[in-house]
Amino acid sequence: MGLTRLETLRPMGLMATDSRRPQALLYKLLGANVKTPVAVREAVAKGQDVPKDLEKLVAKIHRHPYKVTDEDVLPLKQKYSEDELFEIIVTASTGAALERYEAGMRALEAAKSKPAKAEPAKAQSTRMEAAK
Amino acid sequence: MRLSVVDSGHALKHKINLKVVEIYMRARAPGVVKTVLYRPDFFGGRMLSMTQHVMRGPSEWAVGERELFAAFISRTNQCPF
Repeated sequence: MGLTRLETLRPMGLMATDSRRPQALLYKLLGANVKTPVAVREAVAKGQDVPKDLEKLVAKIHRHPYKVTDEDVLPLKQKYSEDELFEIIVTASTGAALERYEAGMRALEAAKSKPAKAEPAKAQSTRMEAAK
Repeated sequence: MRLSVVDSGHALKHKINLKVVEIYMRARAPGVVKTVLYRPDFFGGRMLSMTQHVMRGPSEWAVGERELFAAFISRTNQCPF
């Protein structure tokens, strides 16, 4: 992997050094020298600027992967090889999973930093507002 | 399996692994096993390493509790296992 590739990945916060961290899995997928261009893999991992023909499949993988059907995959075989589709699908899935993981970690951090008595005070304030 | 390479395009040593799994389970190998054994240098090897660490590595949570979390999340994602 050349420096250029690493520079591309650094803004995504993917400089994980512990190979067992979830970020390291995506880092590996984006850095690998495989058939699908790295720009396409980055796009499907983030779910942004995705090539038009892959938009429907990638959006489903990010939002509700259980809705993916044969109709989403089979037409793409006319343009992409199965190995390319494998690379696209696992990269999109890993990107989507990482988004959820990081959202979960942010929620945990927010819950930890939240004052324990904040909720009752807010509820009382709301009741006072309603009574006015 | 929507990609035939993931269904049956494995390297010989992984084909043998899958056969052993199928003999042991007396059923076809699960899709997730076929997926991680297809081109493991690209995806499955790192995925298995991370999963092993998360599910069986040092943690405040017991293995059973972690399995329960995983089952609950899979069910919530409508992808039960």
